[in-house]
Order: sequence, then structure tokens, then C-alpha cells
Amino acid sequence: MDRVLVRSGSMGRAVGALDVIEVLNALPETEVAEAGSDGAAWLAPVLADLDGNVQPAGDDPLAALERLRVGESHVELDAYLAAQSRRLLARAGRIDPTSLAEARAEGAYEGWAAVLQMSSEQVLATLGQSGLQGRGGAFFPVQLKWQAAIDAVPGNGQPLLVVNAEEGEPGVFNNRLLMESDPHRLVEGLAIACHALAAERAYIYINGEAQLSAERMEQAVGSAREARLIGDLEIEIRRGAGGYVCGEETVILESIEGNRAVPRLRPPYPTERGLFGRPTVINNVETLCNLPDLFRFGVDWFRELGTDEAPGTKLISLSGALERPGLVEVPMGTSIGEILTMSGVGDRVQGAVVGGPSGGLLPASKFDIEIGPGPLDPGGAALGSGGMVVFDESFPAADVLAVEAIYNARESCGKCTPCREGGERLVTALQRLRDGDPSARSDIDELVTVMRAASLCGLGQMAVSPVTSALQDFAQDVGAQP
Amino acid sequence: MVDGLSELLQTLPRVRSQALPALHELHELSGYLDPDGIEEIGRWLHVPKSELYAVASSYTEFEMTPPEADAVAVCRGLSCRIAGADALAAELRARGEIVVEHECLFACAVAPVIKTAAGVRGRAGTF
Repeated sequence: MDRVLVRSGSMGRAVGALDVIEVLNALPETEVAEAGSDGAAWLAPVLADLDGNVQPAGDDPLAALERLRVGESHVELDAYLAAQSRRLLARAGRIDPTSLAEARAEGAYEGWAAVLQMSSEQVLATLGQSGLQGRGGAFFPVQLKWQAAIDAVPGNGQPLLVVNAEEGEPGVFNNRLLMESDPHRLVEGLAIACHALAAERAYIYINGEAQLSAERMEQAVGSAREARLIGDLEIEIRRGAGGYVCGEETVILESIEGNRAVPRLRPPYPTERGLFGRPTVINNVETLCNLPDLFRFGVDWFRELGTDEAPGTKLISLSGALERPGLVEVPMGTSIGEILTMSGVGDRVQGAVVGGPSGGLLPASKFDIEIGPGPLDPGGAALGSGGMVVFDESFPAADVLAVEAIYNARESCGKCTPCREGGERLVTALQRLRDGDPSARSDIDELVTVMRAASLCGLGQMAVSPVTSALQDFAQDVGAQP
Repeated sequence: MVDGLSELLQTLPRVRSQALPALHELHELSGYLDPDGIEEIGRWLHVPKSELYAVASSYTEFEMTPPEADAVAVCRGLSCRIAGADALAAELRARGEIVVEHECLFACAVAPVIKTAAGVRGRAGTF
């Protein structure tokens, strides 16, 4: 046997991937390399050979290796991977993420080579035809954002690019997996963006806890630069230091400038006057990771998957009461039920939190809803950045709502009174509702109205979404009259 | 003076936008934001100490006092709570461990998750 990859990543390492590598490294004539995760966290760490056969290491990595040696693959994992539309994840788990050569052998920087032959106008036109939307949760057309920054150049200076890799939402690990498993995809994507924007400098703002992501990005940027792939483009990696609000785009700008982590008033929008007063495009990691293959294979290929309204694929982070938690990539327009079935949802499921602490509690009866931009349900559920946390009767809706409400109250940055004070009051009022206090409901409704209307940023405005969705679909569970 | 800090600061440009990178250096070096270190950063970056405290205190991950060396941090993210983090914390306490709550550790698909000096550990409910 020549080579075995151990599919690892930060979650793989948390369940012993490095120990598995140590055991395998002690064997003679076995070349072992650490790959990123393939998304199948439920089986991690997984061993893979060059033919693509896979075997979970389990308690006995040597036995798993033996099964690989006789060409035996894990049927369930093969089916899990085959059921997805793996575009952004095409290389995840299949290469050593620290190897530029391995990424290039699988097509990295081919889209970049194509873009270098194109003018900025041509890149933006292609982007417009593709219909690519931001993957951080707002689904704003990427072409329009870039165009706004280009239009703002006169009087404000050359644009800057900021990569939002903060990903501070509990239950979401899309960006981490991309950076850990295939960092060159992000380097290539940001190079494409900088070319189109004529930006000479980019910042990658990575969550303070995402140590492996930061290491992999440092390494990938260094090797791309050494190989003279990205010209004179300056890329600086910055680290956050905690706080849900740090994922809000104007907070990232404040943070990079060395200020408190609080949002800015808009307008001016960052595309007009953002970082250091310059026109600034802030794109999510997943958004930029869509660019390399879009320019490598073209608009028609890109639009083959997804819907007319929302072309392409989406990464979904899955956790909670599931048999197969992990990360999957599916076309936009896939139903939530289909995604949860892939992930092994059980019969006792009550619902899922869709869209994190800013999203809503969606009951199992609504799992036929298809993923896409905008609200998925009037109650408050929205796709957001693509996190789904499933709950069943062992941790019922009222407990889920309490966790989310306490989280939102704690994470308020304190700048706006409705969010700072309202968040705490909401926690208390929800407990009163649960205890059967009939006056609680009108207090909750009032707080919802005020927080939505008078908070500056999305965190405050959407902090009420778990509450409104629970009151709509889990009324009895949370103590309200149906 | 914090040992080793001035050498690290020398590598950073003396501008306000280096406040967070500088605080990170100090935090990694001391395990928390040592007041002497904050003063040193302020002198290097020409930023008042009060403003550095204002910046530092707006982030949740900075420790302002030396942390308990041998504490077990149990993730309190929703996925970990669903996977039994509360029972896990109670069991650890019963065994005499010092248990602290930790914000989401983002290993949600291998919940419940704990963090110790040895690192992050997933599927921590199965002893």
C-alpha cells in the first residue's frame, strides 16, 4: 500500500485523529498524511486510500486499514457522500490541505488562470449571469456588491477586500471545514475577487477559536505566494476574539481598525466607505469559494444546480439529535426534510433550529420547506449561513428557546438599548410564560416589536426570531395559549 | 514588563489597527491580559490604556484574570446541550473536577465537547 489519508480537521482531531495518525505512522511502508474532513463528522476520523475507498478508523485503526488494503469501502459513507452535490467540497478529505501540488492536481487555480485573461467588466458580467448570491445569510447578489465598491472608487480610493471568516454562530462550521480541508480554494477565490475589484490588499478575519483554519490559511497563502501564483496581492490574516456580533460585517471593520466590537451606523455602506474609509467588499468564505469553479467551468455549469432564483449549492452544518451529524453540500432548493434524512433524523424529532440564534424553531411538520434566500417561514426561520440543529423530546422546544434567548441576551454588544435591555427582559418574560403568568405574553409581544424596530444591527433585530417562531409553532410547549 | 512581550511588539507596526493583534500576543504569552502588558501595548501603539481596556472588554474570549489551570470547560452551545452537556458537567463536578461553562467550541457535530489543557475533545459524554 502506498498512501493513506486520515480525514481529520478540527472535529476529527477532537475525536482522536492525531492518535490514529500516530498509530499508522508506526507501521512500516505506510505513508500517512492528514487530510481535512470530508464532512462526515459522525464517522470521523476516516481513513481513505488513493482509489477513494473509505473506512472509519473506529476503535481499531489497524483493522480499518486492513479492510482498506483489501479494497473494501464503507457502504454507508459512500452513499452519504454520493447523495450530495459536492462542488465546494470536491477536494475536501481527498487531498493533503498543506500541499499546493495536490490541490493543483485537482484543478486549483484553473479558474484563476481563466480570470487573468478577463477584464474586470467581463468578470462582473459573468458573475451577474451566474446569479451567485452571498452565502453568509443575506443572499445579496455578489455582482451588485462588487459593482457598488467599484462605483465608489472616485473620491474614496481603491477597494479593499475583507473575507468574513468569523463564523461565530453556534451550530455552524461551514467556513471552518472549507479552510481546514481546502484552503487554496479560498485563496483562489479571493484572488479572483481582488482582480475584479483591482484591490491590492485583502484581510481574512478568522474566528479566534478557529486555530486550525488560521494555520491552514497562513500556510496556503504562503505557498501560493512562493509559487508566484497571486502576484503582489497582500493578504493579511486577522483573528477575532469572540462574540457573536463579530460576524456582523461592520463590526469586523471596527475590529480590524482596532476599536470596540460594535456595529457601525449605515449609510455609508461598507462598499462606499468601509475599512479605513475605503470602498470595502466583505464576502463570506463560502461565497468566495464558489468563484474558482464558476470561472473554471462557466455559467451554464454553475446554474445546472440550484433554482432560477438561487443558483448553485449550499453547505449545511448539521448537529443535534441526528444519527449522522456533519456537513453536507446540496443544491439550493433541496427540502429540509431531504437534508435531515441524509443526516439520519429519527422518528422522535420535534423540530429544528434553522438559521441559528437569529433564525427560528421549525416544527417537523414543515420539513418539506425548501432551502433558499429570504424567510423560509413567517415565524422567523431563515436559512442564514446554513446551520440546522435538530431537537427531539429529550430536549424540548421550550428548553431550546430558553438556550437561544439567553444566548442572544448574553451576546448583545450593548450599543443599542432595545437589544441590551430587551434581550434580558425577554429571557425573564419567557420564563414567566412557562410558569403560567398570563401577563407575560403581552410583555413579550411589546419587546419583540421594540427590539425589531429599534436595534441597529441584525443581531438585535433578529434576536426575537426564535421567540416569534416558537410562539407560532410551539405555542403550548412554551406555555402560551395556542 | 511582561517577559517576551516587547520582542513580539517590535514585529507589529505602531498603529491603532494593531490593537487586537497585540492583545492576542499578550493573551497567548500570559494566558490572560496582564495589566502590565496592556500598559506596554499602549505605549507601543500610542493608544491610551483606558481605550485598550475598552477594546479588550468588548470581546468574550479574553481572560482578564489568570484562568484556573486545571479546569474543564464544557461547551454550552445548543448542540452540546442537546447532546447532554448538562449531565456531563454534573458528572464531572461529582468526580471533583473544576467545571466552567464555555461558549460554543464549534465542534457541534461531535457533541458534547469539552476543552482542557490537553485540547478540545469531542463525544465527551462517553467515558
